[in-house]
Amino acid sequence: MRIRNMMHDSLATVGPDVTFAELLLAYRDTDSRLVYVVSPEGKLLGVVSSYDILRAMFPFYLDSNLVKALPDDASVIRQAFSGCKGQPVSEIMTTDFVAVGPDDLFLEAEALIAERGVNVLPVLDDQGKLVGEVSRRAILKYLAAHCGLDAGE
Amino acid sequence: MFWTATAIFVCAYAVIVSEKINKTKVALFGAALTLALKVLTQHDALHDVDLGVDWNVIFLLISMMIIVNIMTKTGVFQYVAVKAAKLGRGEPFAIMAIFAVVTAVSSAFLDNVTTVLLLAPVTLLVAKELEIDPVPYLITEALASNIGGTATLIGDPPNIMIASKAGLDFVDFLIHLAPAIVVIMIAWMLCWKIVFGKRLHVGEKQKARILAMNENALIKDAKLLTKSLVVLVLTILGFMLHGFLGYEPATVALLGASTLLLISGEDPQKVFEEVEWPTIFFFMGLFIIIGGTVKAGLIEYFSQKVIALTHPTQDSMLVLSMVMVWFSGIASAIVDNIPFVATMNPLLAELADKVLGPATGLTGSALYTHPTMLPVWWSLALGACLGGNGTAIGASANVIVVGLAGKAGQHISFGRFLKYGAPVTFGTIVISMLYIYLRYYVLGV
Repeated sequence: MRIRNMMHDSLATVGPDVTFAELLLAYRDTDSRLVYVVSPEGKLLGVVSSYDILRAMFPFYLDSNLVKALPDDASVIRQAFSGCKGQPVSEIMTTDFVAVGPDDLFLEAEALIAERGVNVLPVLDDQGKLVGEVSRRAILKYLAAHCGLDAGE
Repeated sequence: MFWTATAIFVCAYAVIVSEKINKTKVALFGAALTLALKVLTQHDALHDVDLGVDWNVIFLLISMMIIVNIMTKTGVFQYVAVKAAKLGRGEPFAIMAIFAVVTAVSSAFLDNVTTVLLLAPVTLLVAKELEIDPVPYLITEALASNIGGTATLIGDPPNIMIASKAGLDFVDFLIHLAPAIVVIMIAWMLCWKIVFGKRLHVGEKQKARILAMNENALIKDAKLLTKSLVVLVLTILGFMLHGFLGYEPATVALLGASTLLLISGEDPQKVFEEVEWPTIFFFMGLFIIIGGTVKAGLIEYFSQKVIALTHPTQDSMLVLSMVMVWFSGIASAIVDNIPFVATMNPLLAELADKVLGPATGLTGSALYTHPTMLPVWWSLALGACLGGNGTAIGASANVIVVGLAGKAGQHISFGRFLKYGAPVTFGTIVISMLYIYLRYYVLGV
């Protein structure tokens, strides 16, 4: 079984020059867990997860205990957002992602997802161009559909 | 052997100052070489307090780290910091001054780095709520932690080392150093009022945000807090009495730390994970390297040079004391004050042996704490601790605040830190010099 059989190819992509605010919009409009940062030639430069976005926006010096002292969080959130809305995506994205190829074995994607504790893997062609993504969910759905469960085996 | 020990010492110092390799790695490798090249025997290194590891220092440091680590879990430091900000009624300079005093007092009893690490997050939050630049606050806290740490035996590692070497007790430090620090804090805050008093302004809306904060919500574990506070107070009381009762400070600290471990119910695995082992092993390595230079005669050679330069006599060491304040201050702004004091300690001990030993017939602690010798130790302590304020790399607390400010998007350049640190160091060293001169050489008290 090859990865191309179960990958999705409708992805949210942004260029390397977009800002945090534009990134947030891209995230709002996608069903995927990742936003992909690609070069004009379509090469994958980095990935942005929901965790990366929250980490960029959340002041590092606050912890779950210190937050309890705040009567309300409006001013902190407003300031945090205004502080990072112009931040370029290149400072937020993760660049040490792992990727798979469309013709790799399905089992490789499954092993990588388990080893790295990630939800989704980008799928790149030989030139490093983004062609799709394969998620845990997609793998499970593919398995459910192709293991002959319906036939009662 | 002389040249082997000297080569190890000089190379280790050079590499530590260059910061090219982690200082713990350097100190441990230097110590291993000292043993492997037979400058010291392993017995010297591990069992001879003059040549090897000073276990009094090591156990005092570890024990205090354990007590602080457990206390941190209660949320009490965040509570104190928010309470302090509210006490300032949201006035930016009042908050700065109160934070400085809180930091100084905490640092006098706890590790400087820990104090700064615990206060900085609240400082950043308060500055955010007041919509002002956090950098002056963070730098003020680093400076205050180094100043406050100077006041007591346990406040700063150089003092712990000096106390152990000379046989001085907790009360000696309180009587001789704490008054100098009180004077310094008052003078410093008056100067800061002139510098920052008019410059910092915030609106009523921002002040109201500080006053609306609820510090009571920050106490995570009230039961653990009670236990920790009881142990901390008893431990400090133990420090006050250790000279009288005939205990080393490390014994008191160990009793406190082990009691708190026993009654807190905390998992020792987790508590010990938070102990700063790299610092502890840095000390051990350093003691062994310096022990090698003591045995090989390098330190004796230096002490003869110092005697020739400053002419100490059995009646007065005035020139030596004055030189010591400045030399320690300048040296500690440039190099880590821990290796500096580790080197100066045996040097001064050697000097006391030469100058006072034959005439008084005293040895050991009785000799080192001879009234003629005492002001020299206080000069070393004041210079070494306060000198750390000079530059962004002069003390660990400075390095920490520069790092935290950078993380918060506020880069503190070497020059910007110097603009605050250098005048404060200069002023505090001048006050220290006057204090030593007036108290010990004019008033003689």
